Amino acid sequence: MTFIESDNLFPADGAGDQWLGAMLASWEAPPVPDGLDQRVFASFRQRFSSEVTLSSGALAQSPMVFEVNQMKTCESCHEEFSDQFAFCPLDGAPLIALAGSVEEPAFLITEVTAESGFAAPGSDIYHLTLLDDAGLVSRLSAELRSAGQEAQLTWPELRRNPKDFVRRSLAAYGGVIRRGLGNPNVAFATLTAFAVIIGLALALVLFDRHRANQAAMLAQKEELELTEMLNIPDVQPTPDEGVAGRAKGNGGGEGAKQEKAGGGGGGGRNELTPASVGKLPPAANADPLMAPNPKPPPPTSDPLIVPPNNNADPTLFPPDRSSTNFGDPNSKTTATSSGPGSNGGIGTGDRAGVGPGSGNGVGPGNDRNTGGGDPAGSGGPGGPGGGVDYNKIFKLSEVTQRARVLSKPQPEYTEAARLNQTIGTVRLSVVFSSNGQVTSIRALNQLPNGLTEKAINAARRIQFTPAIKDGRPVSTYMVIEYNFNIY
Amino acid sequence: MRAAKDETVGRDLINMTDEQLLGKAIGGDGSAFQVLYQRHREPVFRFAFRLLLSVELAEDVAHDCFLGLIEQPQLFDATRGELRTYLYGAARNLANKHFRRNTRNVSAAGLDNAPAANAGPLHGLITDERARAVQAAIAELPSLQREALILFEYEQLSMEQIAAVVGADLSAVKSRLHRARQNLKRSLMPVLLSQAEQTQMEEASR
Repeated sequence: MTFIESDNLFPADGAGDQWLGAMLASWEAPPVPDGLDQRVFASFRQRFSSEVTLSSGALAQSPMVFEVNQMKTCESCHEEFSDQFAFCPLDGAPLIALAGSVEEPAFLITEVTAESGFAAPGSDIYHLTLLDDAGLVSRLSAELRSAGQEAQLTWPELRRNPKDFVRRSLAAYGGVIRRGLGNPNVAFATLTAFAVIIGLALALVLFDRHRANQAAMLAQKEELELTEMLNIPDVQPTPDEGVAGRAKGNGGGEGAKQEKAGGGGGGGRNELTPASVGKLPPAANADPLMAPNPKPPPPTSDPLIVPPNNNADPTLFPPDRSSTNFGDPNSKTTATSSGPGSNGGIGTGDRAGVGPGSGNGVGPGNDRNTGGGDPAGSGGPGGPGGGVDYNKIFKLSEVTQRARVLSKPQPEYTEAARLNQTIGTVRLSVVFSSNGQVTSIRALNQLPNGLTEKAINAARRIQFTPAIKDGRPVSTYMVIEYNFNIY
Repeated sequence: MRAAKDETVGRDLINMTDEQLLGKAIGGDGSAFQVLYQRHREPVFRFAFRLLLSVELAEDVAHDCFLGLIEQPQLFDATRGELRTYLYGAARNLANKHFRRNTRNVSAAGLDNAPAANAGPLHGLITDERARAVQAAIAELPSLQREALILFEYEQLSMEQIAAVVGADLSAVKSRLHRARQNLKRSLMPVLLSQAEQTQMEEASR
């Protein structure tokens, strides 16, 4: 073991290779398995249908095993035929085995014993061997071709005697199946296969049904599950009085149910004709100083003359800016009239309102507001409704039209900054409010020497048209930059 | 008398060349085929086993080699080389086909049928371990180097014969063989050294 002491571990040839040879020799191949001989000779026999028998023991010592060819002869035509024929193919006479044609094998084949591990030579043991890799298509076409040939051959027979043909075919196929099942273990294997497949199918069906049941039970449980105890009070709290909500907007409001507005009013000037059609006077939360009159008042510049109104929540009656005369919107009469009511107003009722009621509101009720009955607090909560709050401050991305700056005065430079050579940028966050003023000014970054104050002053003086959202002027955030440079 | 005659026939068969035997075998002569098979079964199986490292696969390959010989004897051209060379080539092609189909190379997995030496427990152990190492190292070789090495070292084929089997130039075979040996030396040297150490320790303990 000392021949590897050289530094050069891998010489090309010579002594350095000896150890490699010795190592390689340690790997020996196993002996040829007996099954190989069997298989090769089975294949050979199949190929030539000759009787080749062997045994592993005989092979090792004496490789000579002779084939046995038995011949038969026909008595009438004296032709010789091989053993596979029972009758003469020429004249149909029974064939007789030739006495002298059987050759004795020169070397006796020993009987294969059970210990040798494989079956006796007589029994055909075929090992599955793929001789070539024919593709699926080629094999299918070959099968179809042979089936077609068979059909061609049997077609005349079928036409001649269909009943008999079917009977014979059935018998033949029955025989094939019987023979197939008669082989050892085939019937058992077939039955097992069927049992396994049916068992699998049943298991699948049962499993599916079980799952469906489970799902149904789960669903039932879900329906009946107690999640929360609700405490429902006997008396609903009375909503606070407030502004009537308008069920308009993009979202859904939350809160107690809005109560229907009550109240109403009416009046008239004791005229014979019913009240004429027209617009309602603008609503205000105050009793009118002037009752509405379908006849337009003569133009006047007296500042003491106030326009008529009805006493109702302004949110209930959006202002009507059309130039039509005042009147009852529900009337069909076009002839100008205040109606047969009394104490001013329009309609059949009493007092300065519009409609059949009594009061300064609109409609059949009493007092103010609209509707029937006595005036109610008109809802209170509930109104917000998810509509857009146009009073909030919007981001630039939320508005329909951005604020447009009309003039942007430049800030002056301070003397101190000039002396100190202060330059830079002041960034201001401001709000361009809906009423046209710059508010909420906040410096995002500042400069010393009074420059920030100058910038804020300049920002305050910016003139602009407010941003528009959905047709309304709204407030928006803006960031303004003022650069202070000395050139 | 008949036995004596048959014995003469048997001896004649044994003295026949491979080509003559094949000619008789493809005519359906089972005895000729058996003599032929007997001559070549072991080397072909051995070669297939060393390529595939599996007795079952080697059996399949050897079977298919002989079956191919009787099915398509025209593929063997005696002018191009010996029958043994042809059979080695067929076994090599079948083994390669197997590798292609399974898209994996041989692994040094099972060496269950490694021969156990009976010259003492330690020696047996070392031989066994060495055989495993050799098998693993050969299995790790690239396939072209592996087949050249097996044919040269285990089947004792000449360079020219190997070139005929693998269908390559003589120089290519030489270089493959050289590289195979270099690779083997590199992978087997540590095994040898560790075993030498083991033996020395064993001797010292005595």
